[in-house]
Amino acid sequence: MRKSAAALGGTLGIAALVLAATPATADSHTASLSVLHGVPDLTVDVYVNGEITLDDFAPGELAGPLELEPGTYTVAITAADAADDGAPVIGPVDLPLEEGRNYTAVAHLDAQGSAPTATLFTNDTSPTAPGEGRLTVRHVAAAPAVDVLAGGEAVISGLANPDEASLDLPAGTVSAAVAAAGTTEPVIGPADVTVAEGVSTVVYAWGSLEAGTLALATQTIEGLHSSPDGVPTGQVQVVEESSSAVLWAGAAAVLALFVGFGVRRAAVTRDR
Amino acid sequence: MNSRGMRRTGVAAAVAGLALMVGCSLSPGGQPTTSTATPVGDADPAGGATTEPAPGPSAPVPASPVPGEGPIPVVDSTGTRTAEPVVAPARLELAALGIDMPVTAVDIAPDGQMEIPENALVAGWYRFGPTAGAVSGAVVIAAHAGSYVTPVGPFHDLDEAAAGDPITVTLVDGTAVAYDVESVERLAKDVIDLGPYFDRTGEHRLVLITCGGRWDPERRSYDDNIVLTARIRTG
Repeated sequence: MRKSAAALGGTLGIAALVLAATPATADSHTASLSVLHGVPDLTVDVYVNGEITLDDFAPGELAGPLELEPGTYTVAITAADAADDGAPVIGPVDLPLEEGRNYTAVAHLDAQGSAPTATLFTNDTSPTAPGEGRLTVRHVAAAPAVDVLAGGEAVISGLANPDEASLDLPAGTVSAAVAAAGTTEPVIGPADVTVAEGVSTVVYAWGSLEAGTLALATQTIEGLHSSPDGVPTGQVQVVEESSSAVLWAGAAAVLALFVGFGVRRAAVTRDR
Repeated sequence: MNSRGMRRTGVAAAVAGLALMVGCSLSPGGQPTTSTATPVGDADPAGGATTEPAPGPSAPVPASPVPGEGPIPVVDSTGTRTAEPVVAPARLELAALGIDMPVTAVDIAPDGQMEIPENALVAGWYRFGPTAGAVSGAVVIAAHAGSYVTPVGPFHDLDEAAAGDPITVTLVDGTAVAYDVESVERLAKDVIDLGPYFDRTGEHRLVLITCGGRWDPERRSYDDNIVLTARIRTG
């Protein structure tokens, strides 16, 4: 027999690994914040609590995630050449961030395209079922309500700025398009969107319909996966004297405690 | 078979491991992390706006809201993401047990369990997890100990593997990844927490799974999972 001491050491080893691996993951005592710039043609600076935090932040860029102490942060977005946050183009806005949650703050146009604004989205990081991923669509464009089409059919209907819709899907690639609500003529796409297993894929429709700057932006958040519900590797009993006889002997020995001496003798005999 | 005592030691070890596993299951790993996608600068819709991470000459060094953190990562998020190609395992060799078998990518079965190839001569790689040789996380390969198609498969001796036994996983592109067996555990299916074995973080390891223990005629299944863990061979 080749196991025993080595197997014991190895078992303790993997247990130690599990313990060691846990703290390496994200600290749930903090809040996670990403920032997306969804205002076309406007390079900005981002101030958090009066301190410049993102310098020359360009449209389409995604910053973060920042791991922040829970609390309320005041964010002001200025023109990129501003000397300070005294004359913001967006805000200042207060972002209340709770412990253990994951957020994306988006600077974007309002539905009419009349003014830039900011929306704080809370990202759903609850576990996805094994084999599935999460697709979230956020409307942050200067455009009327839209439908999201997958394979030509509306899977999300009537999504308006600044709302979001989310669905869990089998992992794979979705050909998605965005059309004005109630129509099927794409104003964005179709584009292939990968829904990876255990990953939240957040697709933003941003820009301006009128200005012809409608576009998609994508954020992914990993680590939502679940383990399979089981590993059913025993379809039939393997009838083979070497390993199974010993296992049966062990089972019989336990049985003997209840049944009596005769059975135990049989077990000992079979063990040879 | 010459020693039930040693066999018992192995079982005891597995039980000890199980107790720890249960304890650890209270603190599930795998907190969500936000990934970076594409490096900045690939496509700049603003046309010429730079993303210099260093502060301008007139600005003081930005006080990061996070003490001890470096510059805030900034990526171009425009467009959509396509799946990064993963090179799947194609072959598994564990010479000490006479295992040399093809590996096929498997999915999740409709019942939520890992799909297992019907043929016990073929091992299944859990295609949603890392592949062999990945930077981190566990590559999981499972096979029936025995199946209707194949009464006795190469994995039925998995619990006979010893620490240090060499394993080679060959990818479909021919890359060979060498591992050494670290441990073999027997864990009751009723209480097993598969989370650590399907973990996608931490040091990369190879996890082989099959069934063992008592055959339950009513459930037509074994009571236990045999789980072998191996580490990348160093040196």
